[in-house]
Amino acid sequence: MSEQRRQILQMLADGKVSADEAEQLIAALERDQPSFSSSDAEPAQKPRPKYLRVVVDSAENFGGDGPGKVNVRVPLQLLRAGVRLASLIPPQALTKANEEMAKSGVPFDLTQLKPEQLEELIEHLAEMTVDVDQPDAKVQVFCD
Amino acid sequence: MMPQLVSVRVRNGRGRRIRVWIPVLPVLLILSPVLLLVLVTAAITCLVWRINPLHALHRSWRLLCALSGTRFEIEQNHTSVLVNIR
Repeated sequence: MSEQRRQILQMLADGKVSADEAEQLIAALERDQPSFSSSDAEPAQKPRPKYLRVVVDSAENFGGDGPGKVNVRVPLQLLRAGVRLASLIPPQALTKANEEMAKSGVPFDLTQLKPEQLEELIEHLAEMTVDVDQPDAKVQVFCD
Repeated sequence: MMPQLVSVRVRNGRGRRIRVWIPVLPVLLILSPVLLLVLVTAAITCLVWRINPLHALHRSWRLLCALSGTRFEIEQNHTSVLVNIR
């Protein structure tokens, strides 16, 4: 139980506030702390991820060149800055880029990439983990 | 904050290692005449494409600053390359 909730209940027990007032105070407390549910066993809100990590670990003789490892760490701030810079690209250039990407088999619409939607994307990236396990290679993509 | 140091480590197949630390600010100062030329060219390009050069400069600067913490490490057999931006 959180300290603030305990204090509200103590105030109710002492008769300093009515049951209605206590309920309102608890509701306000929950509004301020939406990550805490009624079950107090839940951990605190996870810190926001700072990096996108790509880790590849391939076994010996994978690809014929012996064992290989790739360890890439890219700050998510770079993603934000990149999208903001890309938003300056004129629409006609984006249209051309879209056409070329579609020709290469990547039907991605760059005009739909808006900096405003980026925060939501990054928040969801935090929960994303890609794990590929094969006998001769292991690939992991995650945020930390 | 802009990156302060870029470290590059290369190990070739014969086990020879090269490690280089590049201080970003002194290198930028040495290259400042070239950078000035690049900035002027970029500003003209922005004006041709009707992009606000100040916005472009600001966002490019943010991109440069966001590079801090980037790390690339690729290892294949006895060869490896590491680039770390701090």
